[in-house]
Amino acid sequence: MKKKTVTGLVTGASATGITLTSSLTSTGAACTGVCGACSLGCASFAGLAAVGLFAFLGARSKKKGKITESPQ
Amino acid sequence: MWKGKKVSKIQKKSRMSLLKRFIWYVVGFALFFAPFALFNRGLAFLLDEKRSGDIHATCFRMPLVDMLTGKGIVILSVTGISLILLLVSAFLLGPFFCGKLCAAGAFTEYLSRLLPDKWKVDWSKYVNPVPLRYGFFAAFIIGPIIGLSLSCSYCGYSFFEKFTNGGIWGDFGVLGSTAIITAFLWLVVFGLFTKGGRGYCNFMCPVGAAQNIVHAVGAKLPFTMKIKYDRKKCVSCNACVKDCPMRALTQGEDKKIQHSNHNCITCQQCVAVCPTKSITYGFGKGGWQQEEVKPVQEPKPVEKGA
Repeated sequence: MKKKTVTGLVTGASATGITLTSSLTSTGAACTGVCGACSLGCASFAGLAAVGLFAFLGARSKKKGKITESPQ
Repeated sequence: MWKGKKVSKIQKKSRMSLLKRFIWYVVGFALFFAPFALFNRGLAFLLDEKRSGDIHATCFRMPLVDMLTGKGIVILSVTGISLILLLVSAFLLGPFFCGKLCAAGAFTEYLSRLLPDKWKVDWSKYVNPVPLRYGFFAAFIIGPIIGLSLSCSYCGYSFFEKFTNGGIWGDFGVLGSTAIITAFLWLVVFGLFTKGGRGYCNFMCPVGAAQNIVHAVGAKLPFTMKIKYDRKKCVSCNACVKDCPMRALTQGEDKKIQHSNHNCITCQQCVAVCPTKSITYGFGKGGWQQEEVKPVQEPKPVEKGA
């Protein structure tokens, strides 16, 4: 129970940190909002993540294709 | 898709509940979201306030910034009244806005129901959504205090309105890098390919997080409405666990159901599908087990021929 609470606190603090850091970068003074380079980067990230998601789903469905035994 | 398949009584109940909730969400869309936002526009008209009709009245980032910059909070304003209604309703009825009126959350939930379950991932099995959402909510509050401000591009509401405005007026507005990521997460990863279709609500939504904090406190009191459980009536059919869009219900090793007030939106889908009426919505004690029981283990895969 204690371990779960600590894990929860660490996860929550990490989520706060990541959100604030990304907010810091996205509101940087260097951004003029015209070049679109960040959109290109993010679109590539989104594309890679999509490939990862489909690979994950594929691997999982392959695993589910095997015979399963009951936990009893 | 359902043609030719025999539909069980539980499936029929589930679909009927989905239909009823859909009507609520259409009402919610007309009342709170652009381009209509009839509630916000009506209230702005009554209070003689000049503001555009959109969901931003329920956003507490802006009032927080106003408070920190010395402008203060006006309670008799569209934002003030909306926020009070949001939090009071969450305290007394559970996250009523999320469960009945939020068209943005419903959009991804209903969209994901069009895909077969084998294509979807139950993310909450891998990561506990509660600390992540509260962490994001904390950043939402801390941001303005330390001079940062979280962009609207992180917001599922904002993207949903881009979608509806784009669909109706053809105006999608600015689609920056953060908006692309949010759209991808909100609509694809945590929408279409997530069991329940409410991954954004579950992992990120700050409005939902605020309501769940209030609901978790309110649910401890007898005079508030909450999801209740009668262990004796439960036959452990697991129908509620499978149908919960927020994955707020789990089955313990003792086969009984466990519930979390930290991500339940009181949509009452579980109440509708329960065949023995062991899950109900009303006043009084919740009846949920306090100490946590280990969740049921997934069956282990075995190689063919082993």
